[in-house]
Amino acid sequence: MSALQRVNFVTILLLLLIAGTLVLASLVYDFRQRIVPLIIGIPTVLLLVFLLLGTFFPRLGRIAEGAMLGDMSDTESVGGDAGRDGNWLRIIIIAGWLVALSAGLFVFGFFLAIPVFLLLFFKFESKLTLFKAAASTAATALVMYLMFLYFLNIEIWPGMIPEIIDEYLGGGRIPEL
Amino acid sequence: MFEAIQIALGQLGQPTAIAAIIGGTLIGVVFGAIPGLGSVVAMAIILPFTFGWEPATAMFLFAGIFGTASTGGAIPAILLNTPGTIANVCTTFDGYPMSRRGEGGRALGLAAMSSGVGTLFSLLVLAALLPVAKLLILAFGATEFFWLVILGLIAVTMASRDNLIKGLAAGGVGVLLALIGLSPVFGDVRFTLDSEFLYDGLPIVPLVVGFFALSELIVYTSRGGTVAQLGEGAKPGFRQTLRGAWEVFEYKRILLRGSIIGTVIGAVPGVGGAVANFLAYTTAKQTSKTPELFGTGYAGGIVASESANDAKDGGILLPTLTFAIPGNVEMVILMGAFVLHGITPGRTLLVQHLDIVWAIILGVVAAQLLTTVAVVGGGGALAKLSMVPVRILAPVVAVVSFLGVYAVRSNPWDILLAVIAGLVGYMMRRAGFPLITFVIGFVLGGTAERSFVQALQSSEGSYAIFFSRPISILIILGILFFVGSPAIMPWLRRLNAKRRAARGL
Repeated sequence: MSALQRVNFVTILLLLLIAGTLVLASLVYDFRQRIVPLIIGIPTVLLLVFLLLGTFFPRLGRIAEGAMLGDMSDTESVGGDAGRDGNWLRIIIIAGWLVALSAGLFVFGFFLAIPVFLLLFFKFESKLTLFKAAASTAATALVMYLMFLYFLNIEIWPGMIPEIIDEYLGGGRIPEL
Repeated sequence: MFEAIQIALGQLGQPTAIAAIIGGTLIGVVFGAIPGLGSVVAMAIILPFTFGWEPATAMFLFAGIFGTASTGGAIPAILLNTPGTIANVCTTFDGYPMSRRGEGGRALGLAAMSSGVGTLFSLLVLAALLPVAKLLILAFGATEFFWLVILGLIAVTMASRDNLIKGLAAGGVGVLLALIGLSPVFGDVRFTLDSEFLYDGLPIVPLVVGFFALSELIVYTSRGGTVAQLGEGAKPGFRQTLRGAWEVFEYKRILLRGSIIGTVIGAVPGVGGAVANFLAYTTAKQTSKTPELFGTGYAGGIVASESANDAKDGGILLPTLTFAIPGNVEMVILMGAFVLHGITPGRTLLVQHLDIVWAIILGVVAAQLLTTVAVVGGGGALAKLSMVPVRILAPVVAVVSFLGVYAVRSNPWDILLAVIAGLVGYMMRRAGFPLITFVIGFVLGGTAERSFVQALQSSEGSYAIFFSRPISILIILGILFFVGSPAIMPWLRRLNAKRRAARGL
């Protein structure tokens, strides 16, 4: 199984898990509340099962992948974006940057996480010199803060760490999940 | 009526009104251009600040915002493959490939002019229909709404260029996820696992930003280079943008059809610009002699998409101004603005404050003209954004996306949801699942269920109601046309070619 086929398999499985769970969960509700989840959910689960089987049985897979829209089947196929993508290591690195930024925002808040992320990204990923990276970080962060804080008047998340600077760094109350 | 127009025109000439329109336009374009924000966030933020203003001035400001946000949304859709608003999704299909060819300026010119024409068309229709609007709106019941949503979903699936089965499955998962949370029909919560976060359902903004902005960011950053891959001699500049703007008129039929679809769909409450956008794009593709060009950077695709999503502005004002039925969330905020300024929405508005109605209409016209001129004039400069190396652009897009996601509800969990959506969206892209059908399923899922249940309640459980009303039947025929057209159209074309050959043409 190639890397792309593995992604295909995992994605179908994930979607099947979501759809299947919601269909099964709907059975505990009364008729009116479960009718639409069932009307939509059952065909969706069947389509996903068909696609999943297609990953094991090549002939079925060809039928599934060939179910294109007539003469509209011009450009895309499985992994239609694959040609535009980098290699898997680069993809994992970039996804890692995003996950790190989101975690950093959550824990340390926007005031700390954004400049740190920008500086590190500009330095190590964009390969700018330290001076250029620092200047780009300062310019970007300044524009962002001015726009969101003063122009839009949006309260910025200070992070979940204990309060260090009132309203700016730490002390954010995490809403219940 | 002419007296009201005269009063509104007089107000439009005031310096405060001009400032409000320019300010509203600027805010609308900027918010539209930032993925995840859009006019709803802009109007919600601005609303309290207008307290104490002259009502007409406040309306000029709001008209500037909601009239121009989808034109602003076309900018990142074309340059970064990231639709600024959900109504700009189809613009990415042809705008982005054009941008990658180094024709971003041309695409922006096409989008700006199509938006301008679409808006003007729909406002003319609105002005003409104001007196007879009641009949039009009352003709649509719950069954018609249900079928209209189904038509939207089918149109979206057909519009996506990916696998049909995967498109339908993704749309189905989207609808199912939309059913999570408090049901407006039953008043109960479903599928929340006792989570407070899920009580109001999954929030749309983190999902859309994650699916479109973050997953695309992974694609282009991992690839490197610049967003645009310049062809020889293709330099985005003012001339290229101007050429794009004039080129719109070479696609008169697509432009007219997109404007009509946008206006009609816009007038149906709860459906909105996204469906108009998809429906116009799909119709243009299905009826084109060269459907294979759509999705490859074809000017007609941008014209269809942008004329429809801006034409919805005139249509959407119709039920809001006449019956106080808000067509979408923007209109709910606009009605909030009416109340804030002591104006009762609905028929009273038409009888006692017709000048306000005209102030809104003229405000949208002025704002759209301003935006069209600004985008055509500055499109070349904007297009150069696509020449910036992605390694510089990516962190800025990531930061803006997260700020936008957080700004809507001030909930830090939304940031994590956006990242999860981004990663799942990336996997779905790689596996060939069209993200568009998923998102549109999510957007329309709640409306579909509400309409379905309301229709059943009104018929005391009889399913015959879905097939017995004339407008429902017309919509069902439209659905059948969409489903059957990929098979029928080539057959009709072959038949036509045979006839021509037989006639010796």
